[in-house]
This record gives sequence, structure tokens and C-alpha cells, in this order.
Amino acid sequence: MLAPREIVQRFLDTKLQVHPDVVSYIREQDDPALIDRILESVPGDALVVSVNHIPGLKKERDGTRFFADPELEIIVGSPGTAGSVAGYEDAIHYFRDRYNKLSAMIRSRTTSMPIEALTTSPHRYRDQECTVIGMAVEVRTTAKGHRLVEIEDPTGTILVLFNKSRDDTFADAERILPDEVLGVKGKLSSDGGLFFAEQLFRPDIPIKHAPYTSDRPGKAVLISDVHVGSDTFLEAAWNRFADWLQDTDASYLLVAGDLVDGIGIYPGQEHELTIKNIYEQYDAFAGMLRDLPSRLKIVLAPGNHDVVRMAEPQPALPPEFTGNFPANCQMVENPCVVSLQGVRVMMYHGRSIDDMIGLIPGASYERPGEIMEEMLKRRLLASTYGMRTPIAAAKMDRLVIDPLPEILHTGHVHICGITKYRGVLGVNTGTWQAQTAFQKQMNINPTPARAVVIDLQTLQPEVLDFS
Amino acid sequence: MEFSPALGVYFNRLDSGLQSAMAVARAARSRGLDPAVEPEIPIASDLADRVEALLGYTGVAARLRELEQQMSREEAALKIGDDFVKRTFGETTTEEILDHAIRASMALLTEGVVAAPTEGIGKVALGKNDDGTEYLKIYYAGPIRSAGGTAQALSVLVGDYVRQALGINRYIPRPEEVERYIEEIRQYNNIMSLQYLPSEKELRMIITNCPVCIDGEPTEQQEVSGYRNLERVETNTVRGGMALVVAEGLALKAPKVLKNVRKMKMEGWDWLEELIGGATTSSSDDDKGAAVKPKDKYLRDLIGGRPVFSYPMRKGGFRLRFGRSRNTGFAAAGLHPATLHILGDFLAVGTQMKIERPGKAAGIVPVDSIQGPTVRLKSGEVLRIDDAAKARSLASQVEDIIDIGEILISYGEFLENNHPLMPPCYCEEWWLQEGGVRHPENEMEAIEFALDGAYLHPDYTYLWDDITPANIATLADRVAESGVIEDGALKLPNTPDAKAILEELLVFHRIEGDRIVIGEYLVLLTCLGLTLQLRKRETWTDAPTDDSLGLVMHLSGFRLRSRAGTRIGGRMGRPGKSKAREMKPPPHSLFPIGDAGGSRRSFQEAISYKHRSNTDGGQIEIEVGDRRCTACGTRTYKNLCDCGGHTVPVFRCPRCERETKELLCPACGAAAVCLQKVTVNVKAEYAAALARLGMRESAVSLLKGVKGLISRDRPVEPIEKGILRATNELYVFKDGTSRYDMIDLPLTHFRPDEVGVSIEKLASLGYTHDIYGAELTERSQVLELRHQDILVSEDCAAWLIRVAKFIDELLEKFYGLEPFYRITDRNDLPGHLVMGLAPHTSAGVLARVIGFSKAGVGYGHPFFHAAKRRNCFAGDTEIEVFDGRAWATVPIRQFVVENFDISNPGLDHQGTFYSDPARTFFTRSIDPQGTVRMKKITSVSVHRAPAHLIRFETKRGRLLTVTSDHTMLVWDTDYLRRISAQEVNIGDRIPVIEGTMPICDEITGREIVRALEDRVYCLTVADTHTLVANGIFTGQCDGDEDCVMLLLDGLINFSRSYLPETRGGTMDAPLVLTTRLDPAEVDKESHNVDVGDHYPLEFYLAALNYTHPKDLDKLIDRVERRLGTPAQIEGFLFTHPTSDISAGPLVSTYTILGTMLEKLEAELTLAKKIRAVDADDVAERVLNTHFIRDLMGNLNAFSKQKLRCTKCNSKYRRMPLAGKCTKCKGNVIATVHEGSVKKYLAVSREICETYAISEYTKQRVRVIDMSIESTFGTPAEQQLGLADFM
Repeated sequence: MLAPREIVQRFLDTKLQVHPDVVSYIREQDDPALIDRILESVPGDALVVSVNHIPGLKKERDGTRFFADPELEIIVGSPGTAGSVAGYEDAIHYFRDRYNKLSAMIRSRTTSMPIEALTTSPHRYRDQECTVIGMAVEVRTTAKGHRLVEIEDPTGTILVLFNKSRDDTFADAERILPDEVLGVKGKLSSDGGLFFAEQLFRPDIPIKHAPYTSDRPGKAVLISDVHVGSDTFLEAAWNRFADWLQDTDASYLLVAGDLVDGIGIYPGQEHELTIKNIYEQYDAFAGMLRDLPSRLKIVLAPGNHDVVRMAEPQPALPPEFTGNFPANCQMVENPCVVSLQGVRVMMYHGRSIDDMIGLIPGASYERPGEIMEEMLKRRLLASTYGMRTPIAAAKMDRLVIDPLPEILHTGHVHICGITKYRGVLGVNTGTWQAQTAFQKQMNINPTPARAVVIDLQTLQPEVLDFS
Repeated sequence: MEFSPALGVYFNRLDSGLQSAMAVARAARSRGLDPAVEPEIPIASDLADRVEALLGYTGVAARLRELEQQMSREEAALKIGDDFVKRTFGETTTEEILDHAIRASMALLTEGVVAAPTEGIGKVALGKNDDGTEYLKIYYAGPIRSAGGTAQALSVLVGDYVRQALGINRYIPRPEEVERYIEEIRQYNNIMSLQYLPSEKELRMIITNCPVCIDGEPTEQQEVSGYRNLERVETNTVRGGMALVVAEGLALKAPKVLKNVRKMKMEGWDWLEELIGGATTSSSDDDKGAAVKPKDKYLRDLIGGRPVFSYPMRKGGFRLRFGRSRNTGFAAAGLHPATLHILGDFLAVGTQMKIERPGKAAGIVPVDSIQGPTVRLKSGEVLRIDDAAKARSLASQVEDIIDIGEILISYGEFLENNHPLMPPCYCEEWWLQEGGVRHPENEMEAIEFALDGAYLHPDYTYLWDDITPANIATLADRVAESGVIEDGALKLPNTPDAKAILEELLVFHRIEGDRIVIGEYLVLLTCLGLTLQLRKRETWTDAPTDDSLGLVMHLSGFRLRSRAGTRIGGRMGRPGKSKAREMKPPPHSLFPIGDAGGSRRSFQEAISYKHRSNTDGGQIEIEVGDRRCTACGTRTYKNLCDCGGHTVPVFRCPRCERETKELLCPACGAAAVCLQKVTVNVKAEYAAALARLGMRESAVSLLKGVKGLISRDRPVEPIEKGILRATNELYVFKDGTSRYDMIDLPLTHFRPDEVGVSIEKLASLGYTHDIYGAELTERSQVLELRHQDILVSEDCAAWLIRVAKFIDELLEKFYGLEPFYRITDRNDLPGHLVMGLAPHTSAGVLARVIGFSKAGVGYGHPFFHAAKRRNCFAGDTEIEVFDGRAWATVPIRQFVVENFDISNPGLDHQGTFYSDPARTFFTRSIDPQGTVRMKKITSVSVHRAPAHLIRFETKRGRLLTVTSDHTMLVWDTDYLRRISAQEVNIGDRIPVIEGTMPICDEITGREIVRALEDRVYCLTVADTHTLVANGIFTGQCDGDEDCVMLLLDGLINFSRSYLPETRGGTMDAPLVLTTRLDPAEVDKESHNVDVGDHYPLEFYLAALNYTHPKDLDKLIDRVERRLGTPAQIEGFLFTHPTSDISAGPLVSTYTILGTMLEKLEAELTLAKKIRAVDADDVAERVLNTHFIRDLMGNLNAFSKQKLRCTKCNSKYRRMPLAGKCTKCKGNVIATVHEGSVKKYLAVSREICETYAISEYTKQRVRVIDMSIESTFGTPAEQQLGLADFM
């Protein structure tokens, strides 16, 4: 198989730079002749070979939109769809669902075999290159520094070794999270007990993905983590934001969770609340919403501070608390996908970011955009079960990123970050709460009072600072 | 040891009893039926006998001492480098010179006690600069922390000093290396929190300028993310030692380093001047002197179902009375038995109560010479109940508990807990010492005595200082206006205000129609300043209005003292348990039957087990020890060869089958095992065993074995023992013995009528005279308990008799010996010897059963309890603690003293002075597999030191001084065995900490030394009960219920080789038996037990002024003052008699009630009745500290829950995709169920509706309720309420 270095070198030899996506595509295809074909089709004036230059591969605009579509539509996650957990047996369906959805995305790019086939007749497959698709069970580093990953599919489990000297796949292997779904190409060890990985596939966004953009003007404002009721809620900044909204031409306001500070979220919280009554917290928020222009369509998702259950998917805020909210508010679940003039926004509060920062080397709270890229690569909002993100394992895995949105909107970490990955815009909105005692202790410096405005025709984000 | 001839006789009795038991045990063991042919519990000899000295000094030490004469320690630490450079001590290579010099000076700087010099420096090496020169690298490891910042920093300086002398170049860092340091130190700070995190600029300055490369061993789990895979930095993992030396050493201690640089005129350190100026110190916050404020610490972490009896210092709470009864002191406090009944029977004899002061907890015992509770009945009558029978009969009519009575606490408790004395309630023994003549017959006499100048007798003193002067005036007005004296009683209209005041005063009265009737009214009238004609006296005209007691004294002309005294809060603690110890599942025999025995491990099932359908039943394959007969050489698994010879274990290498005596195979290095797989016809073996015992198969309905053997030698216990245990309803503990656990209570005296033993029997045991020297003739006479005699509960007695019967049958049918005990009924038991054992310790104490207690507790002499535990460290032992932000290494003395929560100390049954640490700390701990974990320190304790301590020295130069029965950990093949320090010998391999890894070290020195301090110290570490002391992993102090076993059971059936290799397996084994208790050598906390028959007047007066108990040391007769004389052990007295040590409830309501709902209901009903308790607050506290935590925790756990296979018990972090166990295809089930999440939901809702709960808490319950509903869906229509469960 071609090493990335060789591929890059081949292009450099012809004085061309090459986009990493192209390199990974060539590796996936495992067809050295493809390089020549690409080289043939690259126009003379190009400096960088991009995906567009791959013959036969055209960016495809995602999905079909109908003119009859309403301006604002909840595609996934309307209130009442989160459902409850009937029993732990649901967990079988839950992880199977995740495996089925994600493995299908990988399977379209490679041919794979069931793990059981490998483990039951190892001699047959010895020294033969094959691909398996499995969900990571456990990830560890061996004494010699290699990465050992146990993966499973519905038929069996196998240990996969990522050699640290294979720097092309090892960097990816270091970022394998438990419970993500992977495709691994490699060879079986002679005794059949170990699978030596050569290449790693993730579900990822299709390389030819091109986002849908709205055909009429429209702007959406994205925020999260308002934390009304906390003694660190920035009321003045919010008022500036509200004033600005009066004059803006934006038609949508999306809030990705933590509308209020809640009660009993952490020990001793009562000492840091200005509004100790949960109903009054929502009423105060309702008052803030009523002061906003009524033409604005507001979408409100819950977060871990809100009054709904912690386990994801979190249901929409119950009417008991939203009674005083103005009529232009739409409650949604967490996570959810809403369509704004055909542009799909996936809203997710982002509890899993805590877990991912701990598990991914180099990840940091200061760069939430990177985490969103990792989510998109895995097509999973929360990969690992059993850590800080509580998951209500129902029959369907709502944390799989499918369908692919145009915008991924998260919050939770209180730090603003924007990324664009293979056409999908990732926005982690900041907060309306100043640095809390806890964040100070953890050396987290929030970026409060920021709103992200997105032009739905161009998907261009703009960050406005109200602090 | 000084003792009287009478005691000599006693000791001889014990000795001869032990000897005859030993003789039987030896005879039985010599049959060869057990793993060893001798009894395996050694009898401990006196520590002092074995005093020997063996400590030498190396040349380095001598030279260091020389240098220290001439210069400061820091300078000497540098100067010693010159000697190393000169190779004075035989170093050969440059690395060795550097290594030794740095370690030697580190040792000097840290006074040779901490692990830093050996463990803190991983290695010293030379690296190559980019210009080709060499530079010095010091690899710091985690334990460098123990050195403290200054020593850490100076070690770098030492390295530089020697480097310069050797002509090695300085370290020239590459730019990416500097960045790596910055990233890594910051990351380390995120993980462990440094005391001081230098700014980026400071770090850059240190790294670029420091002439020595500060390297380190990887200590953390995390890896750096940015500057990875650098050529000269060997690891990507965070290096804690390095971070510490840079940040807490060089950066924080720069001024100190600079001082030494200047003194030694060293070059290349000028940059330090630039660096200085960043360090700041934090101020400490301590609030002292508030000893008499209400303290509600005992109310925190309130658990549902354990009622609160009294809020802190609240009116109506326990009134403090000073004194000691024969069953109190030594962490036991007395309550009147009537109080125990009135308080809902929650406090049974021996139940622990958490108290406000002086300590944290006290065992509750009945003392009927103090006052009981004052209650208002439903009829409106107010009376005091001073009689347990009356309390029981009135319990259902009690409407309100106005006053819960007195609590008897001895002076010794205050002394032990270092708590200032508090004003006690006025009592007769005090009154008698300041003018009181005799107990007044009636009110008239009391008034006469008072008029004669004495204080008013306490019985006639009402609780005037509980009410305001205005209340007094109101009451006087009411009586004057509308009271009448009729039929020898004062009658006044039943108005709410008058009734309330009378109740607060504890004036007894009853209701007749609509009138309050007060029988004894003379003192009341006088005190209210009323004449017999119910007119206000003239004294009212100039009455003071500021002080109630003053007002009453003015009105009456009497002298009065406060009857209220100090109120003490209390709530129920952990209910005690008293029962035979059972493993789970409980086996009768330590015979392995594998899976063939089914889930019950039963022989009956194994006998019919067929591994294939067409085979005979009962053929099972088991893993047993590999043994060889010493006579004929046959290989077997049994202890006794068929030829009649005894067998010994044989160890083989599991890989090359080679036989070896070493722990590791000499050829391939694998750990040797004593193991073979044999196929046993268990049916035949079982039948043969029955035949040998002469029993039919029908005699045993169920015989339970064990699944497999987990000890090192894997010896098999003969089936016969199991059969005999099964027929006697006994279960075996993992070491081959049978035990009974019980709570220990102190007792110094007893009466024949309460121990259920005849006078003749007692006389035959040596109890011939009572404490006053009169011959024993009456069953009510008070006898002084011998200090190794104990009373066991009746259930325990029945159990002991079963054990005795088992032993007799064993001797007769199995060993072919004469029966020993021949106990036919309970009266035969007194006089027999047992072994007392505290949990997690390894030293048993010889004791004699002399009687029974009706309550489910064991009564023993304070010395007996104290003897069982004193395993601690010398004060200068260094321990490492982590407070959540930073690690610190401190001498244990300092740690314990600093973190001893003076405000809330406790004294436990074993006489240890302990408290929770003031803050939460963690320390490193090790489990029996050798895995190091962080564990919480749950308490700190101070113990009086015994006369001698043992000092160990290891090959790696570590020193540790501990008490002789301190639990030490010793490597045994691949697990850690717990043994007592006196058993640790030279050559034993012990775990020490290296970096964060436990490694093996060897004991090279063992010396018995005199204890220099009079105290030793210890910590309690959660779960594993181990900690690192001076770099050595050892056990720690433990405290819980004690257990007893029959002496012969221990001597015959105990075998060390049964002790499991697995986790926790080696705890609680009677590895040594102490036969004779010397008060000087038991835990000296028992020396604070006061043994006089009264407290002098000065004591009471001093208590009024909150005097510190130490200042009254001379006034009170205590054990300590009698030490060294025969009186140290005899002639004790007590201040308050009690008629029955088993009065009051014998089983706590808490134990009787089954469900939490019932318990809670009972708790809250009681709370509503007690005046000193706020029921709403109790309900809210229970919600907050118990129910909401449980609900949230379980709900959270539900959505992150692990799963487990029902068949092979494999654990899964999440559901496998296959939907079943990937190992055995078994069913995988949840570990957290809907039911366990919802457990407290209904009751929490109910509480919110019924009680005045704050809105915040109510909403929390509501929110959780909604979360649960949305997780599990709306439940079926029918909602069960609290009432549905009753």
C-alpha cells in the first residue's frame, strides 16, 4: 500500500502540493495509477491538488430540498421523541444501531469481513490483507508504545495492534476512542490472536460532500450556555445582545443548552445562585426572551444545567417550565437537527467534549473546534459510553451524526470556537456567564458574551462580541 | 510487672489453662492430619526480653558528621561532594560519583528519614550537548516530593557542584526542550496541582539557565500532547518529579538556593537573582477558642433511619453529668435505661451514638443512677421516668419528650479528647460536697437544708436558667392571680403559657379537668417569690431582670446552681452487630469442590455431579496443593499420607515442572507454585470421612465446601472437620477457625446477678470477695473484673458451646483423643479460655469467659480492649499526603497533630484518640496484589506508645519504626501478606515505593528500641488500610468490632497455610497470641480511665469555668497514676453504680425494622416528639445527605452503568455488540436497576409534602423525579405512597 509520504512525494515531483483529503482518498482506493490520472486532469495553473481534481469525483450537494419546506423545521429531535429506556436490553439495540449506521458508512468505501471469520479460521487468512469493521472496546498502549485496540462486531472480537513506527496510521490510532466504529485494514498474526493494522478508516464525511446553502437570504444567530440565575450571569452583556437583536436582520436564534443555571447540579450550588428557584430561573429567562423581537424564531435545546434528565438524548424542556416563554420559541431535544431554510443545523449541547478532551491527545478546552472535527470524523457526537456523558441507551442511537448537517452547533465548554471540516461548519458558541470559581480552579478561561451569526446563503460565520 | 499475690494466682490459672489446651492441641496436631504438625499460633514472649542493638555507620555518615561540625547542614551537603570526587568511598565511574554524592547530600538534607534520597532520584546519567560536550542529567522520581522544596532545589545544586568538580559541561537545552518543560509542568499542575506554578517566563528562565538537566521518570498516566518524541527526552509521559523540582524546588526556593550559591561561591547561578520575587505564601485560617459553641458536625451526613436525639446544645437535650460507672469510660457513655426506651429503643446496649462532645462517638450503656427523661403524656401530665419498666409501659402514651435526661461522661473522656470541661448539671454528689448533709426526705427538708446555707438540692432545683426572667414573672403572676392550694396541691388554670413555662422548668404536674395540679409546690412557690398564700413577696420589688437564676435566688433567698448545665447533642451512630462470622457464601469446610458443587458449593451436589452423562457421579477435577509424604515419598494432596506419614508442600515451576524451594524457578524465573490438578472421587472421599466419624449420610443434610483454594500451599482441610461443623451449625472462616464478632464494651466491675453465673461457680473462678473485701455471698455484690476476663453475649455463649462440642467431637472421632471441653450446658462455659482478636490485626489476646451479658455485646476490661490494638508509627515517620491540590511529605506526628480536628475528637473502644482529618486528604495505598491506589484518609489517631518499638532497616536504606504489633506487609510469592511487626525478620521482602511503582526491598536490620516519645501516631486509610511510611508500604491502624474464637479451635484448626493469596486474605489472622497483659504495655489510652469513687468539689467548680482537664490531672485517681504498682490492675472504683449492665433495649429498633421506610418513619415520629430535635430539619438533612445523593448517584450511574455476565461474572463497560458475554456467551445483565434508582423516590416525595422542607430542596426532589420519569417513562397508574409500605 502507498504510504502518505510517497503520495505527497509523487505530487511534489511534479511541483504540486496536495490536499490531505486527496492523499487519504488515494490511500483508501489503494490504486497507484490513480495518481497519474489525477495528475493528468490537474489544470496547468493549479498549485494545490484538491478533491475537485480527482477525476470522476464531483462534489455533490447534499440532499434535496423542497420549496414547500417550512422555513424552520425540526428534522430530528422534536419534543417527545427522546423516549425512555425500557430496560437494559435496549442497550443491545443501541450499540447495534450505532454499529449498523456507522459501519455502513465505512463499508461503502471498502470491502470488509466479519471478525468471526478471521478468528475462527486464522490460517485461511494468514498473510492476506483484509479489512474488518468494528467498534472499539478498549484502547491501551503497550509497554513498547504500540497501540492495542480491542474491536468487536456482532460476530466477535479481535485485538488490533497499531505499530508506532507506522507514523501514517499511528497518529490516527492514538486518537481512537472507546465505542467509536472503525474500519481496519491489515493482516492477521500467524497465531490468529492479533491483527496488525495498516490502515484505519473512520466513517467520516464523504470527500465529495458539498454543503447545501439556502437560496434566499437569511441569517441565524447561534448562542448557548446562558446560565440565568447564576451569580456570574452577565446581564449587561445580554442586554447589549438583546438590543443588537432588535435591529438585526437575523431571523433565527438557536440556543444550544444551559438556558438556566439549574439547581443541585453540583454540591454547594445554592451559594452561587441569585435565583434559587428553578421555576423563577426559567421565568427570568422567559422575560429575557419576551424582550427579543417577536419576528425572531427561537430554538431552545436543553443542556446539563437544565431541568430535564442528564442522560442523552435529553428531552425538550417540559411545558411546566416554558409556560411564560413567548410564542416564537420552539423547544427541541438535545441533540437535534433543525432545518433553517433548508440549511440543517445539528444542535448538541456538548457534554461529551469533557470526555473527548481527556481521551484525545492534544485536545484542549481552548480549541473546541478541533473536538468538533473529531466528532464529525467519527460521525458521533459522544463516542464513549460510561464516562462523564450519561447516555440513555434506547433503541436508536441519536448521537450518530446522520444525516450530515451543514452546521454543527455545540456549547458546554464556554469557549467560542469555529471550524470548517469538509464543508461542514462547526460552531462552539461561548457563554453568557463570567468565569466561575470552578473554572478558575480548572484554569478554564471562558469567552463570554459572544454570538455567532451565520449567513445561510454562504455559511459564513461572524463572531460578535458583546462583552 | 508489679502485681498482687491474688493476681499471681489468676495469671497461673490462665497459664495452666493455656498449657493444658496447648498439650491437647499438640497431641491433635501430631497426628499429622493438618497442614502442619504443630499448633501454628506462637505464644508471644515479652518484647523487652528481646532487646538487641545492631546499627552501624558507613564512612559517609562519619564524614558527614565531621563536616556538620564545621558548617551548616546545607553547606556540608555540598561539601561532601568533594569527598566523592576524590573517590574516598570507593566509587569507580563518574556516574557513580555523581549518583552517590547527590544521594548522600539528599539524605543529609532530609535527615535520612524520607524516601527522597533513595527513591526520589531514579538515576543520574550523562547526556550529550549539541556541541559534543557532556552534561549531567538527574532523573527525579515521584518520591522526591518527600524531600521538600529546599532539599529538592539543593540537590540540583549538589549535582552542579560535583559536575563542576568533575569538569563536565553544563546543560545546553534545545528550544523545543524548553517548550516541552513548560508544557509538561503546566500539564502536571493540571493533574496534581503544584504548590506554586511558575509563570512561563520564570520557567523559561530556569530551564535555559539551569546548568543541570532536570530530567525525570514518568510518574503520571497522561502524556504530553505537544512536544512529543523529543530525541533527548526519553518519555512522552508527564514526569512528576521533574515538575516538582523545577516548580516547587528551584522556582519556589530560589532565595534559599541563592544563599547557598553565594556561600559556596558557585558560578552560573546569577540568574536566580532575577528569578526571585514571585513566591507567595498563603495564610492559614484557624479558629480556636470556640469550644463551647454548639457544634453540628455530628449531624452532617445524617443517614435515614438513624434518629437524632438532641440538637447541639439545645434545651431538652442530654444534660451532662460527670462520673464513671463500672461500664462507662473508655469511649462508653451512660444513659438511663428509661431514656433508651423512651428514645424509641433505637439505642440498644452498646449502640454507638455520635455525640457533640467531648469526642465524636460513644458506645451507649445503661446507667440507672442518673436521671431519666422527663415527658409529657397524652393526658397532659408531666413526669420524669426513672424506671425502665415504667418507661416501657408509658412509651405509647408519651406525647412529648421535654427533656431526654442525663448523660454520664467521665473525666477521662474529656482528658482523652483534650476537650475543656463544661459546666455539668447540678447533681447530688456535687451538692453533698458543698454543704449537703444527706438526701432530703421531702420538700420541707430540702428547704431547711437550703435555709441552713447549703445550695438548694438538685432534685428541687428547676431549670430556671432555661426560661427568661419575664417568664418567671408571668408564672408568678399566673399563680398569684388564679392559683389555689387544695388537697395539698397547687392548682392553677390550664393556660398554654403557664403550662409551657412549667414544662420548661420540668416541674412535674398533672391535669385535672381544666386545671394544672402541682403536687410538690413549696419550693416552686418560694422560688417564684410567692408566699404560701400565693401572694408576691416584697422581694419582687427590687428583683433583678437580667438573669433568671439570679432572679430566683433573689426571690427565694436560696443559693442555687444550674440544673441545666451543658446540653450535649447526639444522634444514633452505626448499629452494632454481634454474630458468628460467615464468609459469603459460608462454607463448612475448606475443601475445594469447584463448580461441581453448584452455586451452594455443596458436597451433596458434587457427589451427583457427572461431567459426562455415562460416567459415575462424584468424579470431580480439583486444583489442590502438591504434597509429598515425608515417610514414603508418595505424591498426594492430603495432609496425611495413606502410609501414615505427614506430607509437606512441594513447589514446582509451572513452566518447566522443575521442583524448587525458591520462590522463583531458578531456570526460567517463573513463580513456583504448589499446585496439582487431581481427579477426586468426592463421593468415595465423603463416604469414607463419614465412615471414619461413624456417621450416616443422613446425619448431614448439607455440607458446603469452597469453590477453589486460594492460598499458596493449597492444603486441603479434612472433610471430617466440615462434617462436624455442619452438624454443629458452624461455619469456617478462611483461616480454618470459627469466629464470633461482637462489639466490645468496657467493664471494670460486675455483679453475679447480671452475668448469669452462680456464686459458687464464680468463687471457683477466683471471685471470692467483693470490692469492699466482703466474702461473696449475695448475687448483688459488686466484684472487680479481672482484666483478662470477659463476658460474652448469650448468643455468643450458645455459639461457643457449639464450637466446644465440635472440638470435642473432633478430638474424639477424628484425632482419637479424649474430649476436652465436655460442656453440657451454659454453666460449664465460664472458666474456659478464648482468644480475642481485633479486626485487621494479627495478634490475639488470651481471655477467659466468666459470664454472659444479655445484650448482644462483649464486655471486657479496658486493658483487654486496649491490648488488642496499638499498631502505629513513631512520630517522625514520613508519610505522603495529597490534599486535592498538592502532595506533601510530612512527619506523621506533624500531620496527625495538624489535622487532628480538635473540635471533634473521639475515643474509641480500643482507647485510641482519633478524629476525622480536618480536611480531606489522600495517600498512596497498596492492595494485596501490589497495585498502588490513591485512597482517602478517613481518620487520624494518636496512641500512647508502648515502652519499646521495633526499628527496621532495609537494603535500600529505608528506616521505619513501628510498634511491635503494627501490621506490616510482606511479599509472599506474588501477593502481600499482613503480619505483625514482631514477626518480620531480617531477609523478609517488603514492598517499598519507587516512583509510583511498588517494588521489592529486603529487611536488613531489625532492632528493638526504646520509645523516645510517649505517643505514636497513625492514620486510617479507606478500603485497603495500607499506606506508605518512609517509603515502605505498611498496614495501618484499624478499628471495628472484635471477635472471639475458642482457644482450642484456634490452636488446632488454624493454619497459616490456609490464608488466601487474594485480596484482603491475610487480614484478621491470629498469628500470635499474647498471654499476659501488662497495663504498661497495652495501649496507654486505657490509662486515662478514672478509677476513683468520686470527683472532688474543686473539679466541679473548675468545670464551671471551662478548665482544661489537664489542669486537674492531680485531682482525679486514674490508672496512669497507679502504674508500676500492684494497684495498676486492681482496686478500681467507680463514681456511679448501676444495677444492671444489660438494662434497656437489647436490640436496636434500627435493626428490628426492616425497610428504610419503616426506619425513617420511626425516626421522624421520634423527632417530632423530642423537644430538642427539629423534625423538619432532620427530614431535610436526611433528604440532602442521604436520599437525594442516592437518587442522583444511582440515576447517573444508570446511564453509565456497567454490565456483568451472569455466568462467568465478567464485567463489561458497555453492552457488547453480540448482546451476550463475549467470553462464555452467557447472559449480560445490568448492574444498576430501575428499582435501585427509584428506591427512595416515593419516600423523598412524601417527606417534601409532609415536612417544612426548603423550596430549594423540594425543587431538587421534583427535578430528580422528572428526570427519573423521563428516563424510565411514566410509571403505571398506581403510585404507591409511603402509607402503602407500612
